[in-house]
Amino acid sequence: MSTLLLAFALLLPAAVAWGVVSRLDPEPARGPVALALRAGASCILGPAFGSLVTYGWLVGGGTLGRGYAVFDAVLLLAIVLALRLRRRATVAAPRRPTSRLDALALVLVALCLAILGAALIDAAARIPHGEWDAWAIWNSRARFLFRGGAEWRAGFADELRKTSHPGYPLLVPLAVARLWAFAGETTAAPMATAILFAVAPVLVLAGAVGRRSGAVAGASAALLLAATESWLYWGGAQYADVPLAALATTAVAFLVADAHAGGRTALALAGASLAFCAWTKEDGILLAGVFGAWAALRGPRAPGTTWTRYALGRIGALASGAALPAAARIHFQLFLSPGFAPDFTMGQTLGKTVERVLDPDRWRTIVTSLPPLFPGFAWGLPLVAIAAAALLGARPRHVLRSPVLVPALAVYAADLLVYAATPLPLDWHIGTSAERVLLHAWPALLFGLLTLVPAAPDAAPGAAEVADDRSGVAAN
Amino acid sequence: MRLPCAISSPALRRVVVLATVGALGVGIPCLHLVRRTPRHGGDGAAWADARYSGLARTLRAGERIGVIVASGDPDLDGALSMCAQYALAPAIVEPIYLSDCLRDGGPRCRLERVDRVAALEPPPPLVGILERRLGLVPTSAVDSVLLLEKRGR
Repeated sequence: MSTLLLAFALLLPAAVAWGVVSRLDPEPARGPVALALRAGASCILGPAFGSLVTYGWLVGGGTLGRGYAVFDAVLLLAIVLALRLRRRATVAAPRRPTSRLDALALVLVALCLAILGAALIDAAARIPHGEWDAWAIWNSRARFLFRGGAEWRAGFADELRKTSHPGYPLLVPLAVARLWAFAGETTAAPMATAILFAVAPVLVLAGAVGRRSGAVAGASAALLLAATESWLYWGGAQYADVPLAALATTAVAFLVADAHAGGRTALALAGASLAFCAWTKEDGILLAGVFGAWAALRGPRAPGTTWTRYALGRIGALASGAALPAAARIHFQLFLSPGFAPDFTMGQTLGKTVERVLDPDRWRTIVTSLPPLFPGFAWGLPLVAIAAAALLGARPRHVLRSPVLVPALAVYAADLLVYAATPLPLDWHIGTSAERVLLHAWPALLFGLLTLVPAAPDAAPGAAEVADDRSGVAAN
Repeated sequence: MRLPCAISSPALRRVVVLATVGALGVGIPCLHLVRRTPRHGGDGAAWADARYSGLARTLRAGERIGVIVASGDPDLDGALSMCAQYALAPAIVEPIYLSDCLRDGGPRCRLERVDRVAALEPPPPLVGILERRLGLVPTSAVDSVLLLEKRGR
């Protein structure tokens, strides 16, 4: 019974996310590629959205128990029904013929997903409470939220600052605590959450890259992510880094959809995903800022539109999606968190920080220590990705036009700066975090490289072929 | 201008790419599944849960409880107190570093911050020392955890 309730609790917000994504995705299309993107994005955005419902309930004075589970179920089912009743009339793109190679690509992705899932389940089952930070920080916070009843705020006491970082944002702990409200406190809840966030981005890459650049390019991006050993390891560890990378993957999928189809709905979905990044880890703020700024300034502009109107329009679209998760993040920072990144900010001055950043010895340490920790380094996956993109016909002159590649590289540059500036012992900080931090933008980097591949002759249609609501075309 | 490529046929290039990424994307997770890469460190959380869960059920959210950490090694003491905090949430654990307390005025003793103290499977001589030198009197036990209070409360 507990397993059924857990599955129900996982599927419900994913169904809401499916409805929202289907409604707002500017490029409706049939086929496994489109389904993969929607399924993956729904599995990622679902728990994220669920965490907002849970947070709102707690802040509004509720506690997590059967009463919450009933409220959550009724609310989300109502939203799913409302989305079904108001389904947008669209024309599906014509079903494209699939070549044998494309079919083989999809089979490989399916096989990879099955093995990846099995590997992650096995890894998670061997350490059911997760690795160190998982139980010390994320699952510990979830216990305070779930077990604390009306005193759930005890989890943010200043005494916990040095041990469980109560200033860290709450997407993962809330997602886990929400599942416990349905199924009781079980280690299956954080395990399932971790596995979902590790598997779903593979689907998103296969679908979103495939929609742009063909099934082989999509499969290449997906398979290279699944081949990343650090993704496999940290995916089963129940840390927040893989969920952060998963949300970033969803964001870039919608940023690319915006770049090709225009409109504002894809930007809203991207804005939501980026704000959820900031709701997941403090590092997510950096990621959201870099990708958000690039998206606000570099998207498609209609002829005759002034630059100001264009930028404001895009910022408004991003903000419309980001509103709810950003509000939760700001509320948490103002009313619950004992401080923002205290390990980096307490006792620090601008002078000390600049001195560290300008120290050549620190950069020598960074430059020599980080490359072996880069995702896929042992198997040469970054070079394989570049070679694959080149062999499939990627055009380097499109690098600057990519809504993904330049901001992904900018995130990595910012990561180097953070390590240069860190007041923590540099070797220790790199040794205990870099392998995970470098994962954050890795799926986006794969996305950016493989979407340089030109669209296949039968690739997805652009905005012109998406039906207009007002013209009353037949329902999907 | 596309990058020059030794393989001239686009179809063959797609086959080469798919074969390579397919081998990696299927093979590496298989290796991971078969090799069962060891996790970092032991499962301290499961260990702590098994021992402290009975006590956890009796504590209120936000209640401060001291936990004796007696290894003497700062890293191990820190790990043990964090494991206890995970298991005893939503109570708040105050680690009582025994070596600091027995040194009279050790700055990390913190005994003054709590009224109740928990000791996991303490050997009898330790119980005697806690009573004689720190004024901590045993009051009850929950599973393998001994609860003590300050004498005179």
